[in-house]
Amino acid sequence: MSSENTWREALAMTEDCPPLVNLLEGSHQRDAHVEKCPHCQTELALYREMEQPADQASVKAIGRRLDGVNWAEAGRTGIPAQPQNLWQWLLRPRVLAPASLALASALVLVTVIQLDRATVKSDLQLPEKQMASQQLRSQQVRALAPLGTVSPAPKELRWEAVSGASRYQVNLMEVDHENVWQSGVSVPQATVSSDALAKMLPGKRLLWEVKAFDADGKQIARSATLEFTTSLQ
Amino acid sequence: MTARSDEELVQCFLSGEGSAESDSAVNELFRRYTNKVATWCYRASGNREAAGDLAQEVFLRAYRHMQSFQGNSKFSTWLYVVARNHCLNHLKASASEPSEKSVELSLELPDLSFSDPVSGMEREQSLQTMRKMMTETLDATEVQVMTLHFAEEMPLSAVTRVLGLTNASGAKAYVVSARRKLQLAVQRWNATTTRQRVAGGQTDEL
Repeated sequence: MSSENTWREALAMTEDCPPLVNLLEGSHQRDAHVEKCPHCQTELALYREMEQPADQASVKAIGRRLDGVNWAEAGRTGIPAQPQNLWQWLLRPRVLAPASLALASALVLVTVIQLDRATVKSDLQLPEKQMASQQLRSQQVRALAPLGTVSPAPKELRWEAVSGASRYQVNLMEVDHENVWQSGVSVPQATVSSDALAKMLPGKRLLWEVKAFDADGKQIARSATLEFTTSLQ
Repeated sequence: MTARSDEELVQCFLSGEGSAESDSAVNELFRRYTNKVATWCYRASGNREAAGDLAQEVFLRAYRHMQSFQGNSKFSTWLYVVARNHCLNHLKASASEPSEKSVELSLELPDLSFSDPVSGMEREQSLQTMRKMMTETLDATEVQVMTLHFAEEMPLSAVTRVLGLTNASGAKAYVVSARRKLQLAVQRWNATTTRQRVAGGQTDEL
């Protein structure tokens, strides 16, 4: 184990640390332990800070957004409730930004296809290499496995290499897009951690996606959100 | 009529899941904490839009995992833990973006020299020495910054925000000063243990 990892481990939660609820409520003889535990000291400080008042205008705006949500219904369907005003929802940056990006990508794609057709028409002898470089503009990461129902739980995720990619980021998520595990790799496959593997319970549906970055750290391609379910058998 | 406690609402929700009474109980319970969860999420994300999304996700997680609330703590504490875990996961995920990675600092601290076969220091002992060194050498804010950044993998910008740091360079300044203090502490510790080893060796020879 490297020195860096050892120091990180020294800062992490230990077996002696009480469960967080007990620590926060002071019901676990916390004083003796906390005095020498950086992690517990930090958890207590973090709690104090999180409890401090935040910008009231923002809190009220968030409150308005959540008011009237039927949590029982939202909880059953797993679909986060949306604000009542459709335009308000459509104009949210988190909706607007991807929508704009999708529209821009579609325009680029259409342009590329048109250019591609025009070039092919004008010069049927276009070299293969040049064709490939044009296709690069609209490339997407193509996942190989796991997809659909799989058995046993997959120990690795694989996708097709992307031309020009020097690094991939792979995310494994719950169906609500809560991150379960992520990894950065330089090859088009990633070995799943044992913690993540333990979450692949039979019958459970999980999502995953891959993003490809070039040597400058610029995202050049991404996969669709993919899903798989570990077989019940 | 006296309002039902949070814990009674949880019980009502769990005992009749799917019924109108259960639905009403969980809606009432979550409404009580709308502002609280909004505050936690806003303090974690520093962004109204992201905080709104996070708050929704926190409530959905709380709904799904309500069975794990055993009633051994206050519901508000349990809900805080749900929100804390969700927000920290969100911040950790944002830290893995290459653009975020480039501004982070590494720990760059030397090993404690536990190579003495006579003392036979085990790994757990070295971790305890490191923890002692940190709690005794660093001030409280430095401990918090180091833990959140290096153990919880929170980006420095997020550490600055959640701890409410107001100095010019935020959490980064605390990492730099903590690292300097710890490097000196390790040097002192290594020098002391070397002297003790030498003294021990001389004694053995005598």
